[in-house]
Amino acid sequence: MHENREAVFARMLHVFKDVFDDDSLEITEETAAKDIDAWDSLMHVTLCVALEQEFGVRLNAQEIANLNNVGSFLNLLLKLMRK
Amino acid sequence: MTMGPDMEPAADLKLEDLAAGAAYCFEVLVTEKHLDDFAALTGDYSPVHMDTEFARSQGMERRVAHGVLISGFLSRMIGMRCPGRRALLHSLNIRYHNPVYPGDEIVVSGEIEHVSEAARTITVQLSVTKKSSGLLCAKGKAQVGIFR
Repeated sequence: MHENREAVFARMLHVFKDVFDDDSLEITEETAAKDIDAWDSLMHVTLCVALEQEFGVRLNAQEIANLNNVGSFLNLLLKLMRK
Repeated sequence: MTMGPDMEPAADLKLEDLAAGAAYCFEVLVTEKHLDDFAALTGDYSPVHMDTEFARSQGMERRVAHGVLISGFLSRMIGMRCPGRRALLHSLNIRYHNPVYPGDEIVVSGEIEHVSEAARTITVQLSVTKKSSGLLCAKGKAQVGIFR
């Protein structure tokens, strides 16, 4: 049985808080790099690696390049988890 | 070719050569000179590292190796062994569990935890233990980018 969107988002939030080392971090599907000071190119890589490990999925370079906000991460994870 | 002080060349592992579960290790005899040289290089002459009597008064066996000196051997693991010359260290998280003293032989270990082909990045679990007792001295995790 697949996790629903809300459950995956909750796990994503946990990863974001861990990567940015900020327990008070709040995100929405619209949150993008410009909204979080520490979200630079290196942290983007770190996020991708952490999400791969958390969800047991493999991203590809094209997918990483197209991830421009939290919602795009969420949509991609849901797609990969349903494969 | 990039050579280490013992004339061992840096490894040249490519992304496709790296796999989760692969493990690497080397041993180091930590010496008084290591502590002296590290203090001279960084300016950290804190007495716990430089003054045997002070260190003993604080409950240590003798001078304590700087924690970041020990972390330096983790840098060697990444830059010379796993993956070697193609490495660019992104992050290193480390926790120190027990002091390392001059005269201790330590075992520096690394095990690849995850390989992200898309991000050209690996994560490596790292540890430093005493060879004689297996006592854990430091444990950490590195994220490493891999040059093409």
